[in-house]
Amino acid sequence: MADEESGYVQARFTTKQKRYAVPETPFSVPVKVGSQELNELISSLLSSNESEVSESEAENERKFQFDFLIDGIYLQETLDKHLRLYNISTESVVEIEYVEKHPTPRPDNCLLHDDWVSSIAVCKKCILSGSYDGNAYMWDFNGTCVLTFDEHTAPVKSVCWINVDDDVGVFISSSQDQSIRLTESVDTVAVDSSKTKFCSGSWDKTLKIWSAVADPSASDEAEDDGKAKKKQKTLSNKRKATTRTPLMTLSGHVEAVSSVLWIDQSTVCSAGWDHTIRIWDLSAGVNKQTLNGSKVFCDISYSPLSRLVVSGSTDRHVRLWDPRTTDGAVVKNTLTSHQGWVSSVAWSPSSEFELISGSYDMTVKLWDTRSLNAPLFTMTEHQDKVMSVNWTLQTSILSGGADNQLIIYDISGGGWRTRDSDMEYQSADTT
Amino acid sequence: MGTQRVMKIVRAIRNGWIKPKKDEKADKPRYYLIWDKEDDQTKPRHNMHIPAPKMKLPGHEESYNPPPEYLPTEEEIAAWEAMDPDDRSQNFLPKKYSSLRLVPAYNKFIQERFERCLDLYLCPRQRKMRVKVNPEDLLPKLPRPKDLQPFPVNGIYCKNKLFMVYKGHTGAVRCLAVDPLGQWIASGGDDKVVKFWEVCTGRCIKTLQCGGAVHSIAWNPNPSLTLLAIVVEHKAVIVNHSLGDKLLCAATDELIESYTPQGEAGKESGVQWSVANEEDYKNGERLVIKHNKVISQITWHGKGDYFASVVPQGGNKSVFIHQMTKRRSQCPFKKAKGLIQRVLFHPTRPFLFVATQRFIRVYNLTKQELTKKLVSNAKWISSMAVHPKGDNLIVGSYDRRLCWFDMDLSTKPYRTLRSHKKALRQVTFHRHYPLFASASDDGTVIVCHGRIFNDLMQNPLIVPVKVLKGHKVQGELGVLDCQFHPSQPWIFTAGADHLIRLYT
Amino acid sequence: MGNKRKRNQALKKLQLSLPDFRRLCILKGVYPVEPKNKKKVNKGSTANKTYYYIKDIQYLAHEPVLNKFREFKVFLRKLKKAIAKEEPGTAQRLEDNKPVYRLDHILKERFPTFIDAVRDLDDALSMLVLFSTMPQTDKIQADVVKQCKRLSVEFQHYIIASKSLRKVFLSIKGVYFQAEIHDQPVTWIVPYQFCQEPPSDVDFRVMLTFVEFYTTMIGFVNFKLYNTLNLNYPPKLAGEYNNANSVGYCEESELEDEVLSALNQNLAVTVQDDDVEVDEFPVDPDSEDAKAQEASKKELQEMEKLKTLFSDCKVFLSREVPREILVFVIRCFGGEVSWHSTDAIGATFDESCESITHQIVDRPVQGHRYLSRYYVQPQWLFDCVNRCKLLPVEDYFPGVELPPHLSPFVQEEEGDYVPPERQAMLEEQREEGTDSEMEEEEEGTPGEELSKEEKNLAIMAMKKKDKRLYDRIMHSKKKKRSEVRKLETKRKAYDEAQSKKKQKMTR
Repeated sequence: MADEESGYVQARFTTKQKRYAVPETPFSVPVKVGSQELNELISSLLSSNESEVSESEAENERKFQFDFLIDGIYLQETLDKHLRLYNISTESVVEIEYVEKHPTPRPDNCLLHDDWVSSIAVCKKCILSGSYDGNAYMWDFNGTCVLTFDEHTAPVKSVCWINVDDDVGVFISSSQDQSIRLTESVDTVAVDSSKTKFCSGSWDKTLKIWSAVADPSASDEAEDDGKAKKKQKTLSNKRKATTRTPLMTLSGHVEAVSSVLWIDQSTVCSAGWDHTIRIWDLSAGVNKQTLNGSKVFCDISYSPLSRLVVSGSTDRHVRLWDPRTTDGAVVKNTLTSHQGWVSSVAWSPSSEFELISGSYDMTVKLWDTRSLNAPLFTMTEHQDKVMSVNWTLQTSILSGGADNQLIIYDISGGGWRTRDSDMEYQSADTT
Repeated sequence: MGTQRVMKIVRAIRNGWIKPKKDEKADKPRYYLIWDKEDDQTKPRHNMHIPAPKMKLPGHEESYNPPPEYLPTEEEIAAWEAMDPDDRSQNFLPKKYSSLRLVPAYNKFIQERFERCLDLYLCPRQRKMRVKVNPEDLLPKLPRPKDLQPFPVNGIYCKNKLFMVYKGHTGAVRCLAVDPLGQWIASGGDDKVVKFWEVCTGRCIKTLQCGGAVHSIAWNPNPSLTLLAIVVEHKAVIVNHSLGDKLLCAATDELIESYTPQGEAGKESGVQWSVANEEDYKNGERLVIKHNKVISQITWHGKGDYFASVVPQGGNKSVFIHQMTKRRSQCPFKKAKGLIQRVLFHPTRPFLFVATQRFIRVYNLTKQELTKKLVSNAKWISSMAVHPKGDNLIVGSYDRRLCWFDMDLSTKPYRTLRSHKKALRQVTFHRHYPLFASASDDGTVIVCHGRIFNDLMQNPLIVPVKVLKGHKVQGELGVLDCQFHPSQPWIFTAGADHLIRLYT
Repeated sequence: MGNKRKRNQALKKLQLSLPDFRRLCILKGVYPVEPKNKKKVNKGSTANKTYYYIKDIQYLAHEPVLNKFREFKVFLRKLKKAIAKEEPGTAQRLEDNKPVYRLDHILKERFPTFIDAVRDLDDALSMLVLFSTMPQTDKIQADVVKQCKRLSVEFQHYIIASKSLRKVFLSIKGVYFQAEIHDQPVTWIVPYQFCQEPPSDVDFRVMLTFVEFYTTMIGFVNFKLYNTLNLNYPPKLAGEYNNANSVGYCEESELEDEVLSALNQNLAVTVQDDDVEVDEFPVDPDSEDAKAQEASKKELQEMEKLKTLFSDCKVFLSREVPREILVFVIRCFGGEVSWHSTDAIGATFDESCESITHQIVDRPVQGHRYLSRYYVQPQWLFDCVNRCKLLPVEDYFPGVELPPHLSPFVQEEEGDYVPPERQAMLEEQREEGTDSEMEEEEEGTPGEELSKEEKNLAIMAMKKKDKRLYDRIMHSKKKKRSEVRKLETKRKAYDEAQSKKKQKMTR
């Protein structure tokens, strides 16, 4: 069967998406084919399979796009190269799984700022962005600026929602003017799932845990904004000097902390310039685990689905870490395609395999961890460094950059259904 | 249980005589990354330390199947056995076994290990001069690139994107200084401004108008002082940059204002101290020290109170040492010996390095005497940097040389590198990593690995590792300054093409 | 008196007993020094006294472990008292709060950088390997032995994964290994697999103190080494093995250790390709640097070859060969290896496997022989490694008289005796290398040589000190020369005898 010259291999096609199932009988497939040809094969199988379906629908079916996985790894080259690369025997039947192709991210909207966009936070109703002009902005999804907060006197570095109810939203923002006082130019904040605490990491090498519960003294100053009724809380209001003190200070990093996040109620994960990712147990207040890397970390993200931490570093690589295992490789995988510092990363809220990364090389990339060699998509709309990416809602990816833009990508796609509009957009783009 | 007994236990607990059982988990892990960085700040306990010599490696005679000539004859065996064990030239008798299976356990194995242990802790160590030196040993063994990591790269694959560019200057960038914590950099140039940048984003945080080309800039090495020294033509200006912690900024201002004049004693002619006028004060300028002639360089002492300035045209008064808190200046030398190029404080000891066109003199400031005179074989020295441990010095020159001095070895260069095609503008050491770099007018920066061993017998290892390209040459000028990041293996470079780059 | 102190003075200052002082010296790596002028320091007497640097003594005095020693003494006293008073509760509490000390800070002090530690690895490794083979006695506790075993096996795993073994040597004392770690040669010796009978004239307290420090050191070194390979430390392998074929006859922890020490499973190394590429610097072609560069390039190529030396070999080990040593050697150079699964855990294929290329045997007579493989003696592997290529197997067939096994550590200098086998080897190497470097410089032109008379005069004119030195050198030279001559004549005699024997045989 494995005649190298003529090259045919027995393949069985399987899928988890029932509606695209094809017969389980093995097919003899030439080894020289890539995913393009396999796509045609599956489409033809599907159309022959559902011959009873009306003509027009069958026509529609033909437009299906699939991706192919062998042993959980995306097929990106021709079949024979892939099999050789991963040392898969061509003598037995090769199981090929196929999934519907991921819809192409489509730039949907662009929110123009006056200055660099440093951070993005998203809730169901609106988008919050922090900018280098010292303001935090609130936008609705149509792209109109609803509110501007100008409490800070220096660039806002990080924004985060604390609580979003129907009409009241509480968020925190941190800035280089040391708001959330006590720390030196707070760089990063994260809120835990129960919305009662938040954590901040800073250039002074420490992590601080703060209470986010509105205690009377702080909420006194909450200013009601008549129009949107957004409550805003300033943690260090110099005028009234109600300075809060952190519940806990965690020190252990030997250099600046660049990113923090909550894994669960009592576990915080932080990454820093000292090449380490540290996991902290808050109940004991100790550094429970340390993952040692070799490069400076710019950002980390944790997925409760895959239970992996993804990191972006200054050496252009995106790395996957598993904080649970204590054996085997430290870095589980390395994703390499960016050409500059990877400034921010974010896991998909719905898929355990997908993640996005933004880099100073002006691109945002969408990755699938089953396809380690190349990203699924590269978005090149930004004109300058990408500072921040966000993927809170399943349907949209947001990215903000030094070109003062906050771009919203629509990935709801719905596969072929939006393909037409997609095409339109592309043609408009090229003209 | 009686009350007395309870009271006794309570007292014992209060006084810490009885301790609750320790929580095993709270302890440090048994093993962790103890050498997580090339950080050799812990010094060896004293410089007389002699590492234990390694054990002699076995020769052919120790083989289980040696060439026949090594086998002893019967007389030799008898003689060996008759000898006192201490007098034997080797502690075993060569023997041949026809197959590996037949080799028995060596009955002295444990004893020999034990003797080695005794040697290690009971034997006095003494340095002996080796009479015969094998010339092969002197040849440097070039290490593999992987073992030289980390160093900055500008990857071939990356097409000039892996480095950060700090864009904003409108003239050649003459000088560059990095904040001791590595969060900010400051740069000054021909466009008469000083700009402050955020390192990790490439953002220009603020711009300071100086009213003259800025030729030298130095960040105060003390992290608790938010100060910077800038040279603008005749003036040396102390600036509070007000970046970072507000409390520190305020404390720094307080420190400067706490000065009380102390009469005319210690006044030195040729310099004049004054407080910045109101408008400049708002911009951050605090103190201005006016010199008679143009200043070429300014440098801080490691503690951050003293700083030195160089006035090349100043004749007998071409080097000044200033004390910021007392606002006084001093000219340490009565007579100028040649045209002074650069001065530098020793990182730990009260020494001052003074580079003239061809020589470097090392002065002891407390004893006020010349301790050493290093002879470079360069024609015109342009720059100088001292290793953070203080025993090694590198010097760059306009005639394309880079000389490494090991001051323990000799007053002549230990090694001279001639890798640049044009004049060197700046040389610098990394604070933690064994790296040094040189910037040149040919538009490149060369990064070298320079490891110093704690073992005095081993000479420094110097290997050039990387040529960093990217800056354009403009009017004969290439890269004018380079500085390492204080904690990462990154290097900032300032070019005549108006740009600052960061190679990571 | 200067900067040195006698030992007794030091003891007094530190208020320590001699055993504790020794222990502290071992842990801190403090050693005595030889005064430059003994008489002066010792006020005229020449009796042998031990001196330490004052700085070293102060260094010991500030050691936190010193306090722990004292605490421990108090603890022991209290415990004794509690037991004597028959208060089990108190004794238990005391036991729980037993003072423990850590040696991390001492390690960091003694080896500020990683390279420093690597340079001092030789003794530590040899010691651990030795203790891992020791039987448990009243002096040597089982867990010490176990830990030594574990650490040395972990280290071997690193050597395999990083492919950094360079030289091996079968000596009558044991097997020497030399690896290259961060460009530093690290040599250690492994005793042959026999039960070590602890001799009575050895003070095990001293050795155990060394072991105590060395286990700390190797543990941290291993951690760092694993980290450079992007591996978690400590490694775990048993899990995978359990799934593969569940063996139910020993406990899991034990199984894990066994599997690990079988050395036959790969650590999951995912190579991190960093863009490390050193730029080439043009150097003056005639300078020393250029030569060094050329040489190191050649060496690098050679090393790459060495790393995959056995990659095409599938080796099976017979029962009688020292398995652990051979597995380590074969795996270090990329070979596949297995053994009878009844011998030990970790066998990956059977003797009957068709694709086996070599079987290592050490007995002349064999039962069933497979034609598809070579049967060779263990020395073949070792000689291949040291020669950096696969040697013809004919010389190593079972029952054949083996060629001499030479030490790879010998570096010939001028005037040294070189056995003919080694000479042949060197010549071969030279031929393989570029022929351009054939010109041997000839030194010592006759005109420059002093005439004998002049030389004698010069010797007479020498200073007393220099003269002594000169004599010593000349003496050692003479001795060396006579030794070389002796070896040469012996070899000649042997060769003649051999040829005679052969003639007789042929006749």
